Amino acid sequence: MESLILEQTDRLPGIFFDKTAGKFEIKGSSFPEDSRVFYNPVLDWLAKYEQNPNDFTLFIFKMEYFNSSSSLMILEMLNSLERVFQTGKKVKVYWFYLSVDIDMLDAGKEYSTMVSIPFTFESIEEESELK
Amino acid sequence: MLKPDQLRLALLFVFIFVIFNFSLTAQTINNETKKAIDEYVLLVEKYEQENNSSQQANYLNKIAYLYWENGVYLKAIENFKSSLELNKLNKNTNGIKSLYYNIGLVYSDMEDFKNAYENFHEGLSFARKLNQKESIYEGLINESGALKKLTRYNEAITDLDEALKIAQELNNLKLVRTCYGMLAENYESLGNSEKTIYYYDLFASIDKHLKAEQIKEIEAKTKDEVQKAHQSKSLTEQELSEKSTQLEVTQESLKKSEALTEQQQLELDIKELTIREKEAQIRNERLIRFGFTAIFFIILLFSLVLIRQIQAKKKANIALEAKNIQVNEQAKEITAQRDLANKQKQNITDSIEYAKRIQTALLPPSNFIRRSLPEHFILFKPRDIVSGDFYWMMTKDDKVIIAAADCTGHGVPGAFMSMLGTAFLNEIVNKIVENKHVYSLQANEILNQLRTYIIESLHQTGISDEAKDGIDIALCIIDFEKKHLQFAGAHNPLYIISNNNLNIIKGDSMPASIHKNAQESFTNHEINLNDGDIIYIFSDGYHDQIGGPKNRKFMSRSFQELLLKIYHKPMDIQQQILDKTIEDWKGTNIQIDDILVIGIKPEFSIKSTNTPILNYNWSEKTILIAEDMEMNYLFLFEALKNTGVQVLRAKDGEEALQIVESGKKIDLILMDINMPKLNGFETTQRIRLIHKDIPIIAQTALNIDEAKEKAEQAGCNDYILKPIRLKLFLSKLDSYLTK
Repeated sequence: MESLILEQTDRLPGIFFDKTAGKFEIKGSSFPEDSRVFYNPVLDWLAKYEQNPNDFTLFIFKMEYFNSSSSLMILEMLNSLERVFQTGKKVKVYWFYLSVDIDMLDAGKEYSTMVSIPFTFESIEEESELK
Repeated sequence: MLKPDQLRLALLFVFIFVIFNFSLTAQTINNETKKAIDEYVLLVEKYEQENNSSQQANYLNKIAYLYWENGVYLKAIENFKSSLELNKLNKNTNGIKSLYYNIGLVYSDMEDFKNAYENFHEGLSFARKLNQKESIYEGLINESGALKKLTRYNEAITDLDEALKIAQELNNLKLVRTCYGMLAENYESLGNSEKTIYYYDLFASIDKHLKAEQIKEIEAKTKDEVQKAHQSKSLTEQELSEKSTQLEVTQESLKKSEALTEQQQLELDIKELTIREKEAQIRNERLIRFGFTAIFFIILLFSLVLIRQIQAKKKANIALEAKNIQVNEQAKEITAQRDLANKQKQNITDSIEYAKRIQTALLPPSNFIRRSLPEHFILFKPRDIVSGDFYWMMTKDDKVIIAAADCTGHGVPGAFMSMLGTAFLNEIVNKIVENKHVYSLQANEILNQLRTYIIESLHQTGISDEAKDGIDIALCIIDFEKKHLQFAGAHNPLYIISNNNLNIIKGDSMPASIHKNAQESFTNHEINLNDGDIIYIFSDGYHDQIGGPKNRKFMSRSFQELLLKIYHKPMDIQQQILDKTIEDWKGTNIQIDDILVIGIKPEFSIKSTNTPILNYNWSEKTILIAEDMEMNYLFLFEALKNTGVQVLRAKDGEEALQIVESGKKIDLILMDINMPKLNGFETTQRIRLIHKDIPIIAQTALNIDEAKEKAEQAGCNDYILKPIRLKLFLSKLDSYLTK
């Protein structure tokens, strides 16, 4: 399966999905003009991944900001992972947030109540890790 | 005792059981394998008789492998164990080690990890005796695998650390990769996320490297093969050329022998030659003649071709010209299209600008809000022309219902949602009040109904891919009579600053739209208010704005700290500070979302007096109204109509001064500030020179500290804010008139 790598910009998050390397990461800020246009390829990739997932999927979120329409897309990504989880595969979400950004922690906690996948919350000190 | 019949029956059962069991084993092993095993068993017996224990052990192993391959684990273990005993007798440490490992592996396949672990452990001790690094590594990896299954993660990690060292000493990347992978899994099981990620990353990087190496190897191999093929090709080519030189040599020798006979013929040939020369002469003459004609024809042909070419060029030029015209036309068309696009863009912008007018018209006008909430501010900064954020207010008797809302999306899509939201909120509140009563207004009920309206009108069913657009909203109902506040929130919170403390009342974690918990009701928070409390509701645009020195979000914590610093300031000053702070923070960044912050300082002291208007009786009093605007004068006149007071009017400052100077009995002056000829401040100063005691109340349009201060400096007793709130206005006048 081909990997999906999208370069991070000021208003679009960086996407790094590599099935063979077992790396799944989204980071940065997300406020696209039309979130469907940006997230449809991402969701399509995950839908394909669902057909033949790894035994263990470690999914990393390192978000600094996302707007309300992006938040719906993130929920759809998590729904996709949950379907993998429900087939008995191991799935885990690492939710990183800047230690001063309680809003981002709250957002992650809210997601964790909406899907059954286990979440781990990790605070980070340095902004540079999100860029 | 069993009777003979019963005994027979029992025996039959035993027989059937044995047959059944046998057939079960037989089922999993095919006939060929079975034959092989039988042969090996015979060989084992043979070597046993010959006392050749090493060969005996060898064939026991072969039997065990066959059983293992076919999943007959217990038989495999049995045979390995017999072999193990023989190896022990022979003191073959290497064999003993390998057999323990094998037995351990068979137990692992059976998922009996306890036995597996014991055998791996035993084997490992022999490997250590042998001091073979590879064997120790193998044992450690096997043992840690079993330990992990037994959830003895820490012991597994100890093994893996040792294995990792060996792998590093052996400089074998594949072995190192295995260690990293297994370490990551064990730390993962222990919940040590830091180390999990650490080892996982190491694993991934080595994995990537190894895969790259593999690809390189394959590439190198194919290159090698291609080269070999090339070499063999050139070899055959060489052989071929060698053979052809040989061929040439033989041909030459053949020619030499021919040369001899040629000399004999030469004489004959000379004779012939003289005849031929003569013939040639005749032929030459003919040739020259023929040559001239040929040249003539060639020249003719060339000129024909030239003419044709010139004609073709002319044609091409004409075509080119036509094409040029076409290109020009196309360029014109493109310019026309660009103009059209520009025009269309202008049209779109115009229509969005027009839409903004409609949106702005739907927002509650500021004087309408001020009438119910004299102390408030609204910081509203749309990102685009139209906005996805909106605010909404309605008053019902002594209650004010106010909301700050944030629709998914900004710009035109957000604006569509905001239109829906405004219309729905109006309808919901009006219906509740009509069908029941003002008293039954519940903040959460309004949000519940709003959610139902949105789900139904957008036909949201919860199927993924459909529009899940919705509204995040903070909605308050302020009851001025009871000094009470209701709050319900969809995602968005309410802040109350009370006695220098900021209290956060969180909204529910769901939007007003389709959602997993859309069946659940929103929470209704009820809070008693005190004088001086300040309420803030807002969208997330303010604290999510990116900027500052580190180019990050402003964050709600900074927002809270800022509010605590400025809440005691006048509301319009707070608005200015909030605006300036976020503009400075934003700097050269773009605004990422619509911004909306509403601050409210409810005034109870006036509201709660709640005196009926008709109760005032000032029939023996006279009020002078200095006001140039007809509308404003009429409003004040109407407001005072039922109090019985006598009203005098001055249309400017000079006229007011004249009336006061004329010595008429005047109990109070309402002084407009912006008037022609003499403004309110100047007039007041002049009046104060004649009458120090007449109460003068300034009317100002804005609640600005400066205006208030100026009014006081000029000698006004008090000031009222325009637009005027009737109850406040009358009670204030009463306090001066009945002193």
